[in-house]
Order: sequence, then C-alpha cells, then structure tokens
Amino acid sequence: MYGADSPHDLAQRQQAEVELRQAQKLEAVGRLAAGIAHEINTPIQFVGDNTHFVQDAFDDLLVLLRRYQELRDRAAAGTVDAALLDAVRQAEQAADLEYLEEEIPKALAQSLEGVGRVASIVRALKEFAHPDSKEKAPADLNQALQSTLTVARNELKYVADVETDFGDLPAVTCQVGDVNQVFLNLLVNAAHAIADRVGDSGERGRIWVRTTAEGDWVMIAIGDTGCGIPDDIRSKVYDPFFTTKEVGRGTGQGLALARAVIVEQHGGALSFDSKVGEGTVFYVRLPVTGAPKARESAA
Amino acid sequence: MKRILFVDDEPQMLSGLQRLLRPQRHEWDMTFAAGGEQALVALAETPCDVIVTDMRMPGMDGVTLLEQVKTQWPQMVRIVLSGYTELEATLRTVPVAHQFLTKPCDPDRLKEVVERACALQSLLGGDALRATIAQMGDLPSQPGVYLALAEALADPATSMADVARLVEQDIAMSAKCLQLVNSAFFGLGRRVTSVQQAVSYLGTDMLKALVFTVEVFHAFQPAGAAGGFDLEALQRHSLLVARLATKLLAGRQPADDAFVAGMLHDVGKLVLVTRLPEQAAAIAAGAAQTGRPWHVMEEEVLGVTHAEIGAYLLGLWGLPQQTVEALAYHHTPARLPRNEFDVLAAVYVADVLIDEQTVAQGLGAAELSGPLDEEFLGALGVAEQVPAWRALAAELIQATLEGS
Repeated sequence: MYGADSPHDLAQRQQAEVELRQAQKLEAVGRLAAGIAHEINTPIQFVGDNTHFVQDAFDDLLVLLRRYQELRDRAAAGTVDAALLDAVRQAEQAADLEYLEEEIPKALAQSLEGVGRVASIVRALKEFAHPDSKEKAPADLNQALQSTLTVARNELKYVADVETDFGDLPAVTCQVGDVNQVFLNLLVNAAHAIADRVGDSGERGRIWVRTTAEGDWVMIAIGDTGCGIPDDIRSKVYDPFFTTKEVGRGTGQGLALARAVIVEQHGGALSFDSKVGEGTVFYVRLPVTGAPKARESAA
Repeated sequence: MKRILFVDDEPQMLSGLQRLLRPQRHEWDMTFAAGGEQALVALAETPCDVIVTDMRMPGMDGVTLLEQVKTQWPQMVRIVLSGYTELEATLRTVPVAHQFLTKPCDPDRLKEVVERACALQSLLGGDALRATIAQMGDLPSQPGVYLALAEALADPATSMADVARLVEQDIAMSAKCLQLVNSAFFGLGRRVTSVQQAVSYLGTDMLKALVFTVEVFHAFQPAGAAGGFDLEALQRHSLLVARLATKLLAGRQPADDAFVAGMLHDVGKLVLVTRLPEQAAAIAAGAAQTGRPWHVMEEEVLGVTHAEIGAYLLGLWGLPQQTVEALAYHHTPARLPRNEFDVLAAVYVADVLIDEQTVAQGLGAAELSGPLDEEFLGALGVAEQVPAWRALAAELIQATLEGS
C-alpha cells in the first residue's frame, strides 16, 4: 500500500524508536533501582542510629541538668555540701559526659551529611529522569553528567575510581533526559569492561569523564581502563541487539540507542578509541545549537 | 562477655552503630572493621561469637568474608545487615548467613537479633554442645521460601495471591504443603488443591509455619536408611505431637507457634542422623539394646541431646525464644520454671501422651519419654486434665490411621 519511505512508514518507525528508547530507559531505571536503594538505605541507617543515640544522650543529659539545677539552688541557699558535689560528679560519670561532648557534635554532623547525601541522590534522580519534553531545551551538560554519575554511583564504585575534569561548557540545546541515558549507558559499559578485566582479583580500575568546549560544539569523553574492544567486533558495536554480555547484564541496545540519540536526534557524533587490555574512550560530540541534520538525510 | 564484630565499608555507618550500641558496652565486647580484610585480621587476633556484616563492599565482599568465617570459625553466628532489599537476589548469593537484616534496620530489632544470638550461645553454650555442633561443621541457612514469605508478610501491601505465588515457586515444596494441609491434621473437611486455597483456609501465619517445617524436614533428609532410622515414623510422630499440642493450647496461644514446635521438636534427631551418622547409629543401637530413651543414650554418647541440638538450630535462625525453649526442654520441662501452660508444656505433654498411646494401641515401639511429670503439671494446675488429654491423644492416633 505504502512505499518504503512513505510518511506513514516513517512515522511508524519514529514511533517504534521512541518506544524502544522508553523501554530502555525503564530497564535502566529497574537495574539502577537496587543500587540506588542501597545508596539511600545506608545513610538512612546511620542517620537513624545517630538520632537514636542523640535522643538517649539527651535523656542522660537531662538527668545531669537536674543535678546542676539542684546545685544552683543549693548554692543560692548556701547549703552545698560534699555529698551533693559527690552526687553531681557521679551523675557526670553516669552520663559519660566526656564521651557525649565528643560524640554528639559528630553524630549531628554525620547525620546532616547523610541527609544531604539522600537529598542529592533524590535530586539527581529527578534530573536524570528529566521529564521528557518534546522540545529540546538548553542544558548544562556538566550538571547532567554529575547527576548521572550520582545515579550510577553504586554501579561504579565497587570496580572503579571515578575522576571528572569538567571544562567550561556553554548551555547545549538538547533533550537532556535522552542524553543522560547515553551517558549512563557509556558509564555502565565502562564499569562492565573494568569488571571483565579485573575479575575477582580485588583490583580496581579508573573511569574518567572530561568535557571540553570546541567552538560551536562540546565534547564529552568517557574513558575506562577496562578490557577494550577487540578489533573484530568494532564494526558491530552499534548494531541493535549486538552484545558480548551474558543474559541479564545487557540487551545489546545501549550503544545502538546512544547512536540514535547523539547522531540522529541531535546531529552530533559518536566515536571511540580502544586498545585491547588497556581500555576504551568514547567521544560524544554535540552541536551547541542542537540543530540536527535533517531527519531524512540521516535516515 | 560476648564478642561481636561489625563490618561495613562505610565509616559513617560504623560510627553510627558504635554510638547506638554504646549502652551495650558492659555486656558486649564490640569490634568494628571497615571491610572484609580488616575483619579477618581482627578475627585472627581474637575470635568472636557473632559477626554482623554488610554484603556489598569493595575488595573482599560480605559473601567471601562469611565463607571464610564459616570455614575457620564455624560456631560464630553469621548475620547480614545489607542495604539491598531484593531478598531473593540476596538469598541466591548468600547461603552463608544464618540471618538477614535489611537496612534501614530498626535499632531495637538489631539489638534484639544480636542479643538473641548471644543468649542462644549462653542458653545452649555448654562445652558438649559446642563440641558436637563444631563436629557438624556448618549448619544450613534459614530456609529460603520461609524467609521470603516472612519478609513478604511484614509488608502490609502483600496480598494472599502474592503469598501463594511465593510458595508455588517451589513446586516440590508446595506439593508437600498441600499434602499436609489435606492430612487429617487440619481436618478441613474438603480437599484443598491450590496454595491459594490453603492460604485462605489456614491464614498466612499458619501457612508460614507449614512452609517452615516442610523446608526444615527437607534440609535434613537422611541419605538412605541411615542407621535404621525411620524418617516416616518420625514425621508421623511429629505431626501427631503438633496436632495434639495445638489442640491443648487452643485459645491460649497462636496455633502456628505450637505447630512449629510440635512438628520440629525432634528435629535435633534429624540433624544428628544426617550430620553425625556414626554417633547416631551408636545411639540407636544402644537405645534398641537397653530399651532406654534416645535422649538418655544421646546424653551418654555425646553429652548433649537432640533437644538442645534442635533448639540451637532454630535459635540460629532467629525463631522466637519460646519455640527455641520448647525444643530445648521438651524432655526436661521442669528445668525451665514457668507459671502458665505454654508451648513448651504443651509439646512436652503431647510428646509423652502420643508415645504412650502409640504403644498402648500396639502401633510399634515408639521412643518412650517416661511417665508425665505429675508435679510439673500440678504446679501449672492442669493435672486433672490429663485423662481427657490422654483420650484425645488416642483419638488423634485413630483418626490418623483411618485417614491414611
């Protein structure tokens, strides 16, 4: 009925791509959820522990305070005796005053830090899953990378140290939710590549993220000290459903989606350098204006 | 003083615990290690009674750490405190822990679990038991489906259908559960054909108890006819004791506690038969020759009885204190002073009466637990009920015979 390039066909294909992207995003959120829960549950635990401690400490201090008030009243009446002083000293000891003086401020500071940590994860999640607007909008990609790193922290921290080197970037007009998804895919790939290389040796790798402005473009490089991409599969890595990962760890959509988002949707470029046994660097280049190539010429 | 080792890669987490648990410092000697490697160093210096560790840590993770602890210090109670909430994922990777707690864990719950682990070691910490348990090497973890069920039931959002689905995942086990549900025990008066039906007839707590006992029996399946041990007779006896104990306690205690204690009161025998088959064979032979009860022979051969061994196992899995006590003292209830007719007393009475009536009806030589302790029952004010209970025991045995 319709030719291969009919508008109907094209619309269908675009629709399918949108759905695929959505599905991949959901899958990523599912995979990340366990890690994020862990990142949140740990501070919740120690904030709770500290709060209980401060609560108990306050009760103990209150007992001591009553003793001091008694001391004040008896001092005013001029009836302070050795027995009372002794009782006060005993109360101080019972309250473990020295320990409390030392630990309460730490408990409070660490609790605040913990609360801050949870807040920053929640904020990062919100920024990461940026509500999809149909229109592209100017975005701070350094900020976007930071959020993505926070969201992915639990996927990365057991295998690698992460270094960031963010240059001054102009705002880039893009659909930042989709671009975040690309960053996430590249970071998770980097972590997997390192895990494959170090195995159970207990060694750790390095992941680095660098951003630079290049005239009307920005460049984001994500590098790892992982296993590298063997020569014979370099031409296939962007193929949909191509994967070297076992079932459950990857679906072969990560880089296919990255290319669709960066190249087709944003008119950018995606490339990589890789040495087997040394590591891989992916380069994402995006035009600041967000002007994509005409859809037809890309297809 | 009990020694407890806490392990987590997050320093803030450790200092939080340290503060929280400071009031315990007079009862517990606590050590805090910032990772698996440090934990092993600390243990090499001074072994501990209990270890509480995070799962996922850089370098040596919780699984590796607990595996090492399991080989080198098998008597240590191993508890996981993990931030990962998918229980099933945890279970797959961790057949190495006795108990699981998830972060955030209520401080009182944490204290209680560690306290119980310590109490267990004191209650049952005799040298003979320690030595016997040590010979067994490692005891299995909490049963998986039971654990998943307990976790699910703690969530108010869990529906009966969710519960049924969890149980149905293990086909062999749900078949076994249905078999029990349809036995004379529950007397449901109609045939239950699905786990979903079973849940609505029995309620979730009873189903949980049922799943637990089925899994425990499965975990200690004797290989072949170990030393002439009659597994079927034990199961039949256990079911009858559970049934009678539940009836004796009707209206006083939740039925699931009496059921678990009744079903598993002799689980220590299974542990012995499967873990120390040679000693178990010697005990069985001795009991057959002299006509003395098993627990007396056990005392002679091992210095401990199946009662303590079974109690140790259930305690290790964090079952309620009263269930653990019911197992530990089911041959010697007078050793644990009490003033009401509780699970222990019911299991004790049921065990004696079922044995007595099994023999009286000429159904084989059951283990003789000796006559009822009249003084003990008199103190509880239930002595005059014994004849009625005896009749009930006889009735149950008959009903089971007809039912099968």
